[in-house]
Amino acid sequence: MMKESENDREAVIVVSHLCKQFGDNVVLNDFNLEVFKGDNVVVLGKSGSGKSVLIKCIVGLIKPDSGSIHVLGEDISKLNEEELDKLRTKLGFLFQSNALYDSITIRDNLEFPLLRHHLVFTQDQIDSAVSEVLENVGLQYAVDMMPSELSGGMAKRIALARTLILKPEIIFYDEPTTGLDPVTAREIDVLILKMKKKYNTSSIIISHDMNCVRDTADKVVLLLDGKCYAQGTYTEFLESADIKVKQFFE
Amino acid sequence: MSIIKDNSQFFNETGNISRFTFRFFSTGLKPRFEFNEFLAQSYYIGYKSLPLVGLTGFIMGLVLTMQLRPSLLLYGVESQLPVMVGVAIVREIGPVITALIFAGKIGSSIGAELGSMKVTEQIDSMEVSGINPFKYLVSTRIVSTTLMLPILTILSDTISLFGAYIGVNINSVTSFNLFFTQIFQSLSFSDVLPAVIKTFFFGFAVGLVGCYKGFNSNKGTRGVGRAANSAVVLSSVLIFIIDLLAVQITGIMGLN
Repeated sequence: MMKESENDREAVIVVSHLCKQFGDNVVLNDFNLEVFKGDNVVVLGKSGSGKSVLIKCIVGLIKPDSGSIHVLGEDISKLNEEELDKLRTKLGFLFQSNALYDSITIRDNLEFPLLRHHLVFTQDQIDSAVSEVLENVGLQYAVDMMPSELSGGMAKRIALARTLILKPEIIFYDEPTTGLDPVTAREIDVLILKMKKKYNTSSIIISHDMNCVRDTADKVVLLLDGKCYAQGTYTEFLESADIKVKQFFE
Repeated sequence: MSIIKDNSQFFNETGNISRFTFRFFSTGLKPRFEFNEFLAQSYYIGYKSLPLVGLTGFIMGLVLTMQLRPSLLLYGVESQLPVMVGVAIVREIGPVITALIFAGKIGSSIGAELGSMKVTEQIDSMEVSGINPFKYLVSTRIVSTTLMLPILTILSDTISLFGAYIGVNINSVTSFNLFFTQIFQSLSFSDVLPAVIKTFFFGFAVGLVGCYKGFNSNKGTRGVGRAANSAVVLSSVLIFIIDLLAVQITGIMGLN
């Protein structure tokens, strides 16, 4: 594992000089970021500013044009398909659309990653893992429901449960509270904090919900024009005199 | 400019399909093969297609017999009806019609299913949890279509011949034994084997194109519709191209 700056804390993600463009549209331009173990880093930015592209580059879903990305000490550009799949078992990704497998039940959704990775061998172990993650998100009763029967908030919590079932070291949340009512959004924020505390995970949270930023962030990064425009704590951002930072808090 | 753009799109698409095919052979068949998913797909692709393939096969045999009869009567060779129908069904019509029905049912289904999974980020979700979606979704479906279509074709040919037997008996009386004896006496190994072998290629083409179109679908629900539609169109065209090549190859080998 890498030892980086900030009092020699363990850096679980290091993004250096990352560039990505689609056609003429430059999305990321010399972007740098460090995430330390146990930290929740919220990436703020306007819609279309490249926040989702950033985390998709980090998990290897999108190939960057240049720059390097180290995740848990591994340079992901140097990993082959099998090595990348192995690394990904240590990562969790909560999609904005939840991305639940819609033709199978919630139980099957949760069992799917376990069975594919042969992480459990008996039905008791599977049942126990499924119960544990459903209990974490408070939806034990939904185990035999279909994804189409869930409300937006329930689907988000089930997607979080599926993310947690492999016990990831790093979780990526892509706009976890977007489209939810304020009460449900707060419940999701509480769950994010609860999971961090329980499993000691590090997270990158993409959001422009300022309540979510306030409640969950250890560090806030403002992504502007493809670069890391500013970074600091929520309070530092709140007190900033910079007009581009302030407009997110107005 | 439009012609240049169209040509460029054609070559891009051909290149992408070739890359997709190469990926299937280079990584898609490597262990660990998802055998349970392959069985589930084979059940759906093979067993669930049986009623449709059987019904169309039966009608095909019946109609072909009824259409051929007047022409043969005209030349006084009505007795050759079982031979003509048998050879036509086993060598050409059975495999091609079954493959086209199969492309319509299975090609569109695979294109729409994978396309829908792509646009709702379910394939990405599989990938980020360390599950190789190419192996799980694509390889299992391609292997399944490749193996199921020959079986369906053999069944469809058999049902077609029964349809033809009923067709013959509508206007005259021919015994079951005489009808099938005439057919089997006229068929040789070189009629059956190439016809069965080409169905493996038809099945591979249907699976490959369906998976390719679905796996690379974009632009929301319209993209899913396009994926399903173009999967059927392209695989149907490929079936005819493969058939043409098969006829040429068997001709060169002296099997025609």
